[in-house]
Amino acid sequence: MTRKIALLAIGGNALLKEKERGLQEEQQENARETAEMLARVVAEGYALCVVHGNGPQVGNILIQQEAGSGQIPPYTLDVCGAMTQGSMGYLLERMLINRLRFLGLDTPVTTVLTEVVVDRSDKGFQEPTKPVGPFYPEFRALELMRTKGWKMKEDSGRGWRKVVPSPKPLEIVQLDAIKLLLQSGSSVIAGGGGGIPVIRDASQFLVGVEAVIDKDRLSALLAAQLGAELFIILTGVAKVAIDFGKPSQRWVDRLGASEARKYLAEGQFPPGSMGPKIESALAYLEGGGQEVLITTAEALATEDPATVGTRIVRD
Amino acid sequence: MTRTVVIAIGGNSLISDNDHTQVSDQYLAAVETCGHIATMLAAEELRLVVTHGNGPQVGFILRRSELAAPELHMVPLDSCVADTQGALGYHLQCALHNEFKRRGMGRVAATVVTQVLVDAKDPAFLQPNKPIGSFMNEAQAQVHREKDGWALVEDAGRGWRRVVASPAPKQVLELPVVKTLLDAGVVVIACGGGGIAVVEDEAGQISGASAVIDKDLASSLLAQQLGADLLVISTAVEKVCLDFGKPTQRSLDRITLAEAKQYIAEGHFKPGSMLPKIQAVVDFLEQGGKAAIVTDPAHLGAALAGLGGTHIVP
Repeated sequence: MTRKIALLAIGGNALLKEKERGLQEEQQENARETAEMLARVVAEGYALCVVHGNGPQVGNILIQQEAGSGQIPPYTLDVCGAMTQGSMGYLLERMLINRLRFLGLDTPVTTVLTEVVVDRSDKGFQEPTKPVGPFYPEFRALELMRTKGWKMKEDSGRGWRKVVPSPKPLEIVQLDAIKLLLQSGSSVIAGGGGGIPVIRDASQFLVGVEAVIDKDRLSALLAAQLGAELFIILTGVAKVAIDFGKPSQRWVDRLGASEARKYLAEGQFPPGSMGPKIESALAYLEGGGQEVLITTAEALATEDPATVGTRIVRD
Repeated sequence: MTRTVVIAIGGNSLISDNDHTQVSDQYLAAVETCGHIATMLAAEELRLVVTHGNGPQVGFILRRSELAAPELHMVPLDSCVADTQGALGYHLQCALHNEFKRRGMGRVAATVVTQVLVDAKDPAFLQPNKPIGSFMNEAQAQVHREKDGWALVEDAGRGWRRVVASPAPKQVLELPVVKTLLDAGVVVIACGGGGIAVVEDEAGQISGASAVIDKDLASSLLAQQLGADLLVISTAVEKVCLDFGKPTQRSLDRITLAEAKQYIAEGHFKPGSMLPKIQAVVDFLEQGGKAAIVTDPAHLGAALAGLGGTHIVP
């Protein structure tokens, strides 16, 4: 029997929380909590695919690249992203294996390094907007812009930061391998940090580029292309609200895609928080997806799976 | 019957020398190595696993981590190895993809982050002897010994250096996954840097170990567990030599397992260099492996056709 696929996206800050220093012990503890939640989805009978963000972690690697730049040539952003797929994948994988073993479910967990093709004529490349890495003093920023051709922007008195494009994900190079492993009974960690961005050159060869693919956008694409039956989006509230913050506020258990689209158009979901989550949900449903679950990590870890969160379904 | 082959490539095949450490240089080195691998695959349809070393790359990560220490915590060793599996696996899978495309071959490559179980009671943990990271002075060494519990050794005249254990690999945790991918025809990149060393407690819970595993021994173990037909170890020389570096030096075309063990006993192979490679081959053949080859990247294609390299048979 083929198991249903659930794809779950977690933020990089699920492992490295704000105000934490990112010590290994902290990240391990956070990963342990995350793994409890992930194991619940596996215990429900789903073949689980996990996409994780990597913002804080890649930020730390970039600080190290700069600190070592006098002695060791810094790696490009695509390679730094690949590093986080290795180390974050390992940490999540190890904790999930431990949790599954604890529950008596000794099924494999795999991390697949994932490259994602973007279009080199994506408008993001003309106008990079996504800040990454450390703040630099002006003299260093000028040097980096001159010698490396980086695009940098001054950030309200705090220093200069590199800005990179955030192009749209088009194709997941390792899609077949991910699908195969899910079908074979493994949980799979894939598309970490939104994937390693590559373009296809004139000869169709893959070439790494310095860019950041939005993790939620990639998750929606991966969920749709895997034919995942369930796409789980974690956020800061247990359920989606209509008229949020007003006297008429109500929590929603279930929404049809067209209803969700209508509310989105009415401005019910603020940009920068619930808005992008609903957009991801709709992108997945439009790509052939069936059901989206939006909730918090805590609720998913503890509440009744039948009633937890808000479900958005195809019309 | 399609042959199953494990090929281990040296970390040095991914960095040509100390003057070529830019990302672009490292990628070009991967492209060259992957060209030779594709040549092998064009000649014979193999179930192929590629493993790789990571010595220079782990050194870079540790050095950067030391230089950023005023701002950030140090990167633990298991995490460093996982980082290199990410970075090098990406370069290899991208280079292989392009090489397959260029030659019109319908193969695909995927990298599996790999944990390798070691025994927490391995005697290597009592005598850490594998130097990693930079040299430091005595005062710094003292701080790390007390604060971080590091084992350190003094290298005459050059200062102090951290040493870690290099235990024997016992089990490749991702073995079933590697098999699934091989069965589907995927070229699998696995066991980077010898794998991330982990230990298991009585309850079956695994945790990271501050240790590194020899990549040739890990590759040999993977080949054994896969029931591979052939283990190929790619290194800096075309053939294994006896009396290496002496006027009596002579290269070997074909030797038996018994001869290999005899040459080891006679001290022909340098520890930390050819010795672990021959030991890896011996382990593989003793556990039922049918053949092994030691050669350099440029001779991979020829060696597989029986026309180069050193062949070791039971």
